[in-house]
Amino acid sequence: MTTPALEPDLFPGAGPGGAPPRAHRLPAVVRLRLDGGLKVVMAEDDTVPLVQLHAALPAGTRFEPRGGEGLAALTIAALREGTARRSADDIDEAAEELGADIATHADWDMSSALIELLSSDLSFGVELLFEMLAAPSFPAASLERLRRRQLARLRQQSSAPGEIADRWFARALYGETAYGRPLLGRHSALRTIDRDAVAEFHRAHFGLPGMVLVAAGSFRAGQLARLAESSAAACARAAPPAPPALEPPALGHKRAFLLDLPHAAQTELRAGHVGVARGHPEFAALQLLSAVLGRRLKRRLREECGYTYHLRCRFISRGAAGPFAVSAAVGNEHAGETVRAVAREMERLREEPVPAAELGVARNYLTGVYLRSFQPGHELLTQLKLLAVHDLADDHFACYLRGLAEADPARLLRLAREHFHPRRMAVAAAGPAAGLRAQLAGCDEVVEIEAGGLDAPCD
Amino acid sequence: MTATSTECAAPRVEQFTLANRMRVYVRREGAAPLVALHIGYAAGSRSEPARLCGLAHVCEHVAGLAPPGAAAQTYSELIEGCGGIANGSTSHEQLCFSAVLPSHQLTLGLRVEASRMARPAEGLTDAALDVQRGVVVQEYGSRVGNRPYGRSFELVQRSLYPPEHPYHWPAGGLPASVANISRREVETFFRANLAPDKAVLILVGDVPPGAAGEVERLFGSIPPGDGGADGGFGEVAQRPRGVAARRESYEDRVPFARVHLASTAPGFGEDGWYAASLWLRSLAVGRTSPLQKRLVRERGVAQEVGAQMVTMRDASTAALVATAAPGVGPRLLEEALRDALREILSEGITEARLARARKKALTDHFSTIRRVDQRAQFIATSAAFRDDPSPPVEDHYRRLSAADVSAAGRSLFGAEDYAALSIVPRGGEV
Repeated sequence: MTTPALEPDLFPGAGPGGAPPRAHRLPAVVRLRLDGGLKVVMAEDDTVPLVQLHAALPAGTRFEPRGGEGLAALTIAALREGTARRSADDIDEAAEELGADIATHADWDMSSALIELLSSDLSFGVELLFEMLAAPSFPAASLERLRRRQLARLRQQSSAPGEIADRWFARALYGETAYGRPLLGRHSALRTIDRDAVAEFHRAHFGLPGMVLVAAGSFRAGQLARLAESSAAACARAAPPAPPALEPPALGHKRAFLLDLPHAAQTELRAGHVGVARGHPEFAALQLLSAVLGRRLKRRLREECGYTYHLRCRFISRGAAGPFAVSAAVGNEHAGETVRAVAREMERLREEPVPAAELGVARNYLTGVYLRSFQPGHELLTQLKLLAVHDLADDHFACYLRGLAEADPARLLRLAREHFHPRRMAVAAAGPAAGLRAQLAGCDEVVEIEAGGLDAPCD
Repeated sequence: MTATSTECAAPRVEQFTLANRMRVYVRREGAAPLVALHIGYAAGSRSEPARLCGLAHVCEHVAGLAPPGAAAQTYSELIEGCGGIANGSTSHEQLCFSAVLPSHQLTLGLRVEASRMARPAEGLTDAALDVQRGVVVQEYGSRVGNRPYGRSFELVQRSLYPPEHPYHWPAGGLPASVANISRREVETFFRANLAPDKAVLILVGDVPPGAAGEVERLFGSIPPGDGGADGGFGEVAQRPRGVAARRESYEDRVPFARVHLASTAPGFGEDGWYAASLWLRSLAVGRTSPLQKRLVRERGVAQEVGAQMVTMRDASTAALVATAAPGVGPRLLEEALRDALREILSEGITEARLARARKKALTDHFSTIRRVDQRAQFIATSAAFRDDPSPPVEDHYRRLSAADVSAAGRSLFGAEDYAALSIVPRGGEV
């Protein structure tokens, strides 16, 4: 399967004396639905002799029962601890013999298991991946060890200013709904999760009909499809439950969470509000709008003032409406000015169209970023996973680029008015409260969290 | 046909040197119309006086500012505006600038680098320098100062390398010294270091046919500097041996203690470097590795244990790192780590374990050269450090026997003349 070349003038205004642009080609993506309902999305690339296999399921924190916060992360991690055929040691020995990497992860919507290995070992990778998914044994001793490790990681996160800011920002936006919970769970819940709960979560959420297999690297699609169909036969056929509705609390004003870290060398800031779901028809144009905002903020806060080294601004992809977030670590004395700058620039975008030249620069930048994301590696895998998980159309990549190309100042002005809400925004600031209190006084409400409350912040 | 063997058929790297002694490497490859441009100057933190720790890093940031009259404030903005992405980095060895561009925009990228080389501090004001110093200080905060265990590497280096050694102080600088760097010092650094004879230029990807001519046209007239020995790096920085069993402890806002045992290893690309890399992998990478088995699973004193090797040109820093399990203090963890190390050193590495480590080293290597910019960086480092843009990595690993790798381990940690650094929770609570 080949894809047509894109228009060669993706970057109008070629460089001085430069050769004419060559057309980019998007990766040739193969999409299949195998027996049992398994969705497969693949792209072949022979740059290096590696293959990445990524299985994802609708088994993220969104699907955890109340009182079971941490269950998703615990269950997916436990896949490595043995199957009906192999012990944890057997799995580790076999994988390490081949130099393979196995990783598991739970996010808010999905849980994932990933194997990366030499392409010559493809059949082992496919077989092991589906064996872990289909028939994990969940040994009690292993679950206990994983529980202790997850609790330890929660403690680690509670000492990291960036993690603290992330956690409270999510809480500010989503309250007690699933997207407001920490991915690793809560101390109180983790202590009570038992083997039965893990096994039940696996039974309910790890069936083939909800599963996607994403693969990128040096292999042939036909061979991989045959291996997957054969290895996946042992997986359960239960249809996944529908994702629970997510209704975040409305933000009626500008609310700041001030997390007191008296000795912090800088302040970790998060500012924003609930955005849109990944499937929103104007997602590309919204990312362009956020790119314009991000570039203005970076110019002001970094290049003109030196307040920060790194600033990020984006609509975050989720199954339901994900956050719109501006993230930065700033000098403690500049946190207030940063928050005001964010609000001011968002307001400006709601009031004035983006000048065409500025929009063109942001568009070129974002288009370049997007095209580079199809290089081999984790970026390509992420793009393929988006197709699979959000059931995006075959021509999604080309549509996304078209969305960037067609977004004009009038459209961005409308989108800013619909989707930027600087007066109804949440701010999370993790830094020395003594100096931050006055700086955040311009927010309508400031909630202070003492250092002692941080270890169990969402319990 | 898939790449079914571990051999990765690599396109040839073309090489030429301009009259001003700038070395250029070009590798044409790839289907995508992208080109990676990477220029590395032998002007990292080893080129700065110790009292001006951070000068090279500040210069990296200053060199990102476009000259007055340019169409944008920074070179990055110019490159981003044409669909590219740009970055700068400072290590102990090099000051690097890199970009990935649509291939038809290569000329713009080359013009940016030529402009940067020819007139790096043009129009620099004290106010502009002040802003960049502020950014460098915030970068330190993000990467080091405001992160749990963030200072680990900085402290390990300080422990292993004597104060006068160029690897002693951190390449990124320290906030206190960065704050005192003056415009005159920046200008002096640029004059001495941003010169073609201290630079290697790498182009990888869809490189247009006329690229060599463009390079000559844009860079050829820039006069060379004083050069200096050995590719501009100056005298070899001797690898210190025997740190007299130094032990240090440092408090941080962390919930668990962390112990580092660190030693100096051979520099990038030396035979001993490959052996050390395999030894570290065989020791600590993977759940079946000897250290993980002993410390995490059998004794339960660590929640994680791993190995790191930070590579410089004339030496590397090899470290074993263990994070304590809840309730375990740093002393107990350190003793357990030392005991495990002694046992493993006396047992040696088996051929079976070496085979695993070798395979892991190769998959790691391949995963770090997947993207066009990664390949450019690899070529840049190899060319600058070892004058070999395409080292036969797989051959190097395959040639080594279990006896070679065991000997490498004994050389690193056998005489117990290594440094031990503990990061402990503030107030001593565990």
